[in-house]
Amino acid sequence: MIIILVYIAISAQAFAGNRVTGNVRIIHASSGPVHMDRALKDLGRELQSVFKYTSYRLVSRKPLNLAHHEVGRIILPGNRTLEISPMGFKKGRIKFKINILKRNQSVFTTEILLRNGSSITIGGPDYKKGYLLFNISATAR
Amino acid sequence: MLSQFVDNALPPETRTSLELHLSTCPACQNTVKSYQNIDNRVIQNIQRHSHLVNNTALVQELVVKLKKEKATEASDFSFFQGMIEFIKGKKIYLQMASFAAILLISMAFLQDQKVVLHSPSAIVNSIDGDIASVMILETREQHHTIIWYKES
Repeated sequence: MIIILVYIAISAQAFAGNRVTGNVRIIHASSGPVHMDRALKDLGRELQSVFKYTSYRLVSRKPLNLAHHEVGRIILPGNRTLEISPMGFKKGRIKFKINILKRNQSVFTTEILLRNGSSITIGGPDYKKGYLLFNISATAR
Repeated sequence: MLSQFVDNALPPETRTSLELHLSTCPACQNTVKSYQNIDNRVIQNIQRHSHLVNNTALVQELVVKLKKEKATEASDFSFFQGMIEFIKGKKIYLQMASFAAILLISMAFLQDQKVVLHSPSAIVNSIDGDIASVMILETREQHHTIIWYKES
């Protein structure tokens, strides 16, 4: 009985509501003069551990506040759009459907299970002698 | 040095030489006498006031205090014994063991919740699109998931 109560309490704490909040950081990575934006301090070391780029600049930060199955649209540089939609919970994680469009044409689609309160980085599109990275963080409320 | 002489605190050689000096110096003799008088007065006063203290009452108070301390120790021991008897009498071993098991399972469950933190920040279920290539990376330190794709 106690175990069931503990499980319910933890589950309820983890996913108390049906809204997902967070933000999308749009980052420009390049091999220009060494630079790391202060706003990327939490992510910088992780990116530097896998990429050879020397400059990481925060282009913009967009907030997320979505209900399940609601689609959030974020305008990205280079005629691109990011569509993100929370699709519920699976294995204790938030299920997301992410779609990146270029000139209104779907270019990249993925389905991920994001750890609650954590983030994922999607990158690769060319932009201004460098590349774009989209860091998506989310928490279920 | 004279006060040390009065207190018998001087080494024998110094004391002997000072005694020789005292036999010929009235000023020092007076000083020694005045020191000795002070000493005598202090001793007399202590003796006079010590008669005022009731030693018997003090001893009695001490005995009562010691008896009380012994009684407290004995009651603590009897309480402990009582607890053991209570546990034996009620046969609550089973309940206690059940409680311990539940506690351990709950702790293990909570530990599992912590393990989640060491898994990748995101699990990629599917990737699709008009792309030339794709890579899924996970950083070593924070297990941060990165998807890197190349537009075609």
